[in-house]
Amino acid sequence: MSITIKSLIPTLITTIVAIFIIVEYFAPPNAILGEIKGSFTSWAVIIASFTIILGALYLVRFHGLKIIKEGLGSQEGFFSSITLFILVLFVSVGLAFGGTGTSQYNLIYMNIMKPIASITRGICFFYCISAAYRAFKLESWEATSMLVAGVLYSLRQIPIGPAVWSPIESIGDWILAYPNVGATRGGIVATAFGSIIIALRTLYNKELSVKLVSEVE
Amino acid sequence: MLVRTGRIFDLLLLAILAITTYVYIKRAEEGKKLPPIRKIPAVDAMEEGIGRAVEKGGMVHFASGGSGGRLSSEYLGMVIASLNCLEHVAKLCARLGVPLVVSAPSRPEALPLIEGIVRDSYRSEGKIEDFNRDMIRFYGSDTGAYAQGICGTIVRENCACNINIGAWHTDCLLVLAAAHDIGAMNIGGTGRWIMMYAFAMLADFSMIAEEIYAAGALVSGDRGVISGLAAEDIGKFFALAVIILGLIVSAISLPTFLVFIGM
Repeated sequence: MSITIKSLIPTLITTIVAIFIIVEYFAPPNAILGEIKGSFTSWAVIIASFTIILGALYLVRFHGLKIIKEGLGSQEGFFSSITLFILVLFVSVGLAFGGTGTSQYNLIYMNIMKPIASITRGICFFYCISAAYRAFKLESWEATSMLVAGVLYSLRQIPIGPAVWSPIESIGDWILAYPNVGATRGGIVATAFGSIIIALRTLYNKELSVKLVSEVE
Repeated sequence: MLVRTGRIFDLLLLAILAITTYVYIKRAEEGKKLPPIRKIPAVDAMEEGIGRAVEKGGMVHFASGGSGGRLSSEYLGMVIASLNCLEHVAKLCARLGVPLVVSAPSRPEALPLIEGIVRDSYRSEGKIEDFNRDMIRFYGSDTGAYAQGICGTIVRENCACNINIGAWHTDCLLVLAAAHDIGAMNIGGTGRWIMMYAFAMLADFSMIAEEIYAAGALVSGDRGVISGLAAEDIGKFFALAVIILGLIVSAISLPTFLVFIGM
C-alpha cells in the first residue's frame, strides 16, 4: 500500500466519523443521526474488548519468555511462574464453571484479587500522605501557601478542628468554595481548549505523531 | 431551528477555534512569524533526565497513564500530547543508547501508535537494531495490575528517569512514589485536573494541566503543531471575555445591562 493511501485512509475515517459525531451533537434530535452515532461508539467498545485477549497474550509471552530465559529456580522465574499460574487458574475456573458470575469464580476472586486490590489502594493513600509531607515543606512561597491551605482545610475536616475553634469550619469551606473552585475551573477550561485544538489538528491531518506513524512503511 | 436548543454558544466557540487553528496552521506553513512561546522547565528536564540515566547506567521509563491509550472522549488530547512526548523521549534514548521501557496504557487502543512511534524514532536515529518489541509492556486492562506492573518494572530494571505524561488516575501515585523511592527523576503531568496534586507532590518537574499539550507541541518542533498553541490562547481570551461579561451581567442584572448597551 502506498504511503499516501496509508496516510489518507485513517485521516478519511477519522474525519468522516468526527463530522458525524459533531453534526449529531449540534443538530436537532434526529433518529437516523443518533443511530449512526450509536454504531460508531459501539465500535469503540468492540475495539476496547480486545484488551482482554491482548492482555493475556502479552502476559503469557512476557512471563513465558522470562521463565525460559531465567529458569524456574531463579527469583524472576519463580514470580513469573506464580503470575502465569494465577492466570491459568482464573481462566480455568471461569471456563469450567460457566463464566465470572459463578460462586466458584467469586470465591477465588474474593480471596485472591480483592485483597490484592485493597492492598494496592491502601498503599496509594500511604504514599499520598508521605508525598504530602514532602510537598508541604516550607521551601518556597508556593509550598507555604499549599501548607497553610492544606492544614486549615484538614483541620476543618477532622471533628476536633471545629470543636476547638469554630471559625475553622467557615475558613475551610471558603478555601474549598472560592480559591479551590476558581483555580480548578481555570485549569479545566484551559485543558479543554488544549484538547479541542489537538482534536482539530488531527481532523486537519496536521497532528504529527498520528500522521508520521500512518506514513511509516 | 438548525441548531439544537442550548448548543448555539458551543457551536460558536467551536467555529472560532476551528477558524483560528486553520489560520495559524496556514501562517506556520507560509513561514510567517508565530507568537513566542515561554519555556516549560519539564520539557528541558526530559533531556536532563535521560542524560542522567546515561550517567547512572539505568533505564528510562515512559508511561501515558491508565487511560493514556484512549483515542476518544476528553482523553484524546492527552494521548496525542503524550505520544508527541514519547517520540521525543524515544529519539533521545536511541541517540544516547539508553534502554527505554514504555508501559502501554491499560486501554490499549493506541498500542499500534505507541509501537509505531518508538520503532520509527529508533529508525530515524539510525538505531533500528536497538528497537525491541519487549520495550513496550502491556499489563492488562485492570488499573491495579497496571500500577503494580509498572512499579515492578521500575524497581527491577533500575529506572533512572521516569516520565509520566498523559491521562492518569490514582495509579500515578504508586508509580511516581516507586520511582521516587529508588532515586529516579520524576517528570510528568496530566490533563486530568483532579490528579494534578499527585504530580505537584511527587514529580521533580511537573506540568500543570494544559502544559502537557504545550509540551507535546514544543517537543515535536513542528511549526504547524506549535501554531495550535496560539489558536488555543485566542480561545482562552474569548473565554475570559465571556467570564468578565458574565460577571458584569450578574453584578448589575441582565435588564440593566441591556439598557446600558442600548438594547
